[in-house]
Amino acid sequence: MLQLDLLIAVPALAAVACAIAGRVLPSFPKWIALLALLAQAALMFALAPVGLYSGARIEGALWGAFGSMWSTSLDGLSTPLMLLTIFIGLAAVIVSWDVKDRPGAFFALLLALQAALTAVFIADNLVLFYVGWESVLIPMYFIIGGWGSSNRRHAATKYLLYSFAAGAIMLFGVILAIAESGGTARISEITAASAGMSTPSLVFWLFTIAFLVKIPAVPFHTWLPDAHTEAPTAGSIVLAGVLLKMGGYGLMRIAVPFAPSAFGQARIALMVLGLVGIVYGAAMALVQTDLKRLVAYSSVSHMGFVILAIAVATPDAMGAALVAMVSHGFVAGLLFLLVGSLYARTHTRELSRFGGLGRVMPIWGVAFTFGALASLGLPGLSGFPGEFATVLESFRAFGWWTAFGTIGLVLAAAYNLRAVRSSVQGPVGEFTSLPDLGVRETSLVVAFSVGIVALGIQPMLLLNVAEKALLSLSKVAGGGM
Amino acid sequence: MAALLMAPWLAVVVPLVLAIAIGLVGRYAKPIVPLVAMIGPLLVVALGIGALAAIPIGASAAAEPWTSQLASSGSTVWFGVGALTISVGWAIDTLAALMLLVVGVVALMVIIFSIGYMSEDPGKVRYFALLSAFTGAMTLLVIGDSFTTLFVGWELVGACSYLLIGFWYQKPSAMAAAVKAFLTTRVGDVGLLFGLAVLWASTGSLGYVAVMHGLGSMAPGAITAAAVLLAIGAIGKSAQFPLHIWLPDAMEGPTPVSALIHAATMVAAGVFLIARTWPLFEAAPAARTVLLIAGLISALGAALAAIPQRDIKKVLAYSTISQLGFMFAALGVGAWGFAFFHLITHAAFKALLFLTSGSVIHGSGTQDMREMGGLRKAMPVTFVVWVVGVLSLVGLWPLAGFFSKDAILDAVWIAVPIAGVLLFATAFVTGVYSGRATRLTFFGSWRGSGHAHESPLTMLVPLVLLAIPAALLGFSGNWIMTRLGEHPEPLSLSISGVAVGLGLVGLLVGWSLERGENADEILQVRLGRAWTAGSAGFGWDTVVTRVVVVPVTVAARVLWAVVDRYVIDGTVEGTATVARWAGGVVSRLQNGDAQWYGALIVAGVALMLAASIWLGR
Amino acid sequence: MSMILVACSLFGIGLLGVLVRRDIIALLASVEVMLGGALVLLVGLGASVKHVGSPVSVEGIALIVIVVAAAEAAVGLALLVAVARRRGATRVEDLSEVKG
Repeated sequence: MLQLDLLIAVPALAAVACAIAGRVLPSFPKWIALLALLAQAALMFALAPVGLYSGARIEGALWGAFGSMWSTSLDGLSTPLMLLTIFIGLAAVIVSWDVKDRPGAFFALLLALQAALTAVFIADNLVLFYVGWESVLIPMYFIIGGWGSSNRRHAATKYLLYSFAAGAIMLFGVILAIAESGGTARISEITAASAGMSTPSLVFWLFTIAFLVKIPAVPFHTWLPDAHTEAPTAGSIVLAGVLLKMGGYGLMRIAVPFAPSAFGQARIALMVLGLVGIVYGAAMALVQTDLKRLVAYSSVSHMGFVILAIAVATPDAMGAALVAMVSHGFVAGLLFLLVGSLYARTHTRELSRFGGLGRVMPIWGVAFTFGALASLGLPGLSGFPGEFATVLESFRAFGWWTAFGTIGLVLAAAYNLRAVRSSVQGPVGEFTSLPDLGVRETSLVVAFSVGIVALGIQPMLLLNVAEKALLSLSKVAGGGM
Repeated sequence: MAALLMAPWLAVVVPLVLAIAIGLVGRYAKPIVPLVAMIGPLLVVALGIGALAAIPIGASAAAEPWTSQLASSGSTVWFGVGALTISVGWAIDTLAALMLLVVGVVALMVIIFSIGYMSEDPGKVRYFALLSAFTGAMTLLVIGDSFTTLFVGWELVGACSYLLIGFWYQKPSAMAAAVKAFLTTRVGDVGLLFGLAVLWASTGSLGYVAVMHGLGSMAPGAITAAAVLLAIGAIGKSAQFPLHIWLPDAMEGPTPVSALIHAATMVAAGVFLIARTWPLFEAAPAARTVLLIAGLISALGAALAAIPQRDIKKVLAYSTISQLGFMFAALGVGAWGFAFFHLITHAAFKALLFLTSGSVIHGSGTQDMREMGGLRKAMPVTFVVWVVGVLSLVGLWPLAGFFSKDAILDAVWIAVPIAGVLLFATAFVTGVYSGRATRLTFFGSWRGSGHAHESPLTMLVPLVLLAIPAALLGFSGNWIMTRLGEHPEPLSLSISGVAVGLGLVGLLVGWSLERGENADEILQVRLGRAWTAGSAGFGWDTVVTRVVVVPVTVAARVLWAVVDRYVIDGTVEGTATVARWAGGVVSRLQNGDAQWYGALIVAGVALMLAASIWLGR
Repeated sequence: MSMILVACSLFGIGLLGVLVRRDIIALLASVEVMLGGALVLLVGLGASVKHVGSPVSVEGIALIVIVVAAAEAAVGLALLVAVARRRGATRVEDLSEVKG
């Protein structure tokens, strides 16, 4: 199917168009970006008749001489994340509609980021995967460094170097995996030949370290709060909404299937990383005074559930990991959107300076309360199914160790309610009159909320698409009992 | 109603959707908002009646844990990849149907009452939206056919409770209370969640029927663990010791909310949970002991703490903890039917008392009983229904409380005599605080400022309507027990006599506590620290703050300040610093002086020559 | 043997000059001394080692090298003059922009 390759090509070409159009007329680029993303969405929906949404695996065209470098595929595992990427990309473009500072460059970078992310999620080829993986860094670096807030240089550099170091480790993994599987770079073929690897543990950890940095797992997480706090709103949304998912996706797509035996040995370590991440991230979120940092640490906690679920590796747990990832994309995206719009109005993120915003900005207040409730895992909203199933399955696999992670659930309630209490509620603080969310922001909030509620009430929407892929993944991983 | 039985989930979905609708467009149609909010409770009542009518009396239950044939059931897969799936669905037996009636009727009364009570409040649209949402969530909890469904409803009512306690969200004390309520119950909820995990791991399902069926093949240790964890959840939700601290603070919310959520329905969910899953507790004696002990401590301790309260709502809050303690004690000795019966009567008279206190607060403009007094003249209707409620609470024949409380006393006395003694003592103390509160509020002379006035008709009508079941519901005891498939037992005359006698003496003692103008001050001097400690709930709040809240916060702060910033991020930033320093050192070699480079080259060549000679030996 | 010694001394003196002298003209002269040392060695060794049927004469090579060196010195001096005109300096420490 040529559509798959177009999925990458459309945003990439549009990025070039943006850069050029920005010099002609500053209002062009945002329209180009919007159209490009809509075209991506249309391409995804055009794949429905071939059974993409009933679990089929679709392969892209092999590009002649590039066959060893360029092959793409979409299956139940990548489709939900691909849809999430498009949704978050649209949100990022719409939220940046008013960017006045070098719009051509800004939207070009957003589109380049989109192309790179798409490449990561639909790559069926380690080389393409790696290229996409590292290409994500560059636009994000410039988005943070060019449009961020006061301390952006430091944060952007830290993000770039940290991720790049991890990526370099992964490069060794890529080379080793290709060498060990007789020279093919295709992910599906390496997976099929995984039994013949002579050093599965090495391959597993070379990849896994890079993925753990991206997720991020404690103690590899400190780039995240810095990057989030300094990034512009669109950057934060994409960072939390999609970039972190690359790590979880990588584990499920590459690390585990490439080296199931090594994964079997590493499960306990991953479990510990997951549990520590859940509790540690929540504890850190509890004491933050910077609202954006608080949400950033909550991401660490939520992604801890993803690591834990992958460590469990039963079919339900793999489903839980996927649901939790998509859910976190919605919830963190919504929260960063709201915090960003608050920052745009007040130019501060200090919790202590807010208060009574429920009265000052009613729509913002309702939306933020909703987001916080979703983040603390209220049933009926998307945070619940993934974490609920993770706890159930983790207990089945690991027993009472899971109890440690449930501390995180109490702390999650604590930090989210604390955020609500010191921003939305209480007496009106120093900001006595602020413009409430506009039509554009409100409709984005509604879109996010619809996603959160739909996934919360009916997670099968997603699991039906992914079931086949998840079952085979879990079978390979030999998870659970 | 039969149609409703085809799709009982409508009673969940409709109130929730209406809540959203009210929230979105309610402000354009303020007058009809309460009417819209009433649709949910009406549906719930209709569903309850319809279900009871549809279930034949005497027919045996299809499977554990149902109490009768099912009026309606259905289920769908909610989460699942592969063979193991988590289903959600509904199943309505007599237990659920009776609970639906309680929820629906009280919610209806509360909404009617609120029309008058909240008429001046600028946030009333939000208020009615939340009440409607609460009705839907509570219905979900009740009609669920699985632990999953129950847990979903359980958390949702908790969220509604949080939002309603913090209804006046600009008041810091209200927010503190709301957060405290949510977090304390969340601790219990995590216990419940883990109980579900144990059951899931052992039986591979969370459906009630499948779990109860799987009990036979479960390890005894797992059964006990699951039951104890479930009990912890119930203790948190039903505000039992040691997780009761949130309920007195929850009185920051509007009074009708206290009547609905924090007296009649949500706090009773813990009792409902245990009654619902009774076969599990049947098989876990240790968990029953936990329930009994928690119930006894809560019953007596909270009753004692109710005596010195000044705030009329706090008296009722402690009274609620105490009465729920009765139910837990009954559950602890295996009399779940009586516990549920008491749940029903308690819902009636305690909702009545709370709404009455709402009327009192509305009429007198204060919650402090020492600023009230003599209200029986100014608020005659309120006074009469209050007396009905209080006497039902104390347990005087023929009021509702008499029957259910005596049934519990009877069962507990026979099973564990020492526990029975404690409950008799509680019955006495109940009389004391009731007598004191009644005299302070309605007798003596008016001590407040301004003029007290009787409440409007919209508030009085639900009071009178609730007074009827609070008075007469006791006579339905046998019918309820039969419908639940339990055997009603004749009341023992001696037990009843002692209980009523103790209650009456208690009332007299409580009455005589407030003799003069400064009765409280005199008591405080005479009883000293006991009085002060009692009015502060025996300091358990402080203990929890010092032992749990402060250490956790401090630990998190230390973790952040030391581990995260210095150890972990210090390593990361330290790597950068080291790299920069090393770069600085090495770059000094590159000083631009060609001769220096030449010297280095010569030195290098010399070194290589020396090495090759050395190695080439 | 003494010839090798002479060659090495010449090379060493030149090298020392290159490393120590700060004047660029002296530096260039030192380079020429080094080159001289190398040529002495080349010619000396060429005379002492028997070449069987070699078509190349070492003297020829030495002559070519001298010519090239002269050309090279000319280019070097021309550069030096250009630098001196532009920056007014003929000392090494004045030409150290390229540094870390």
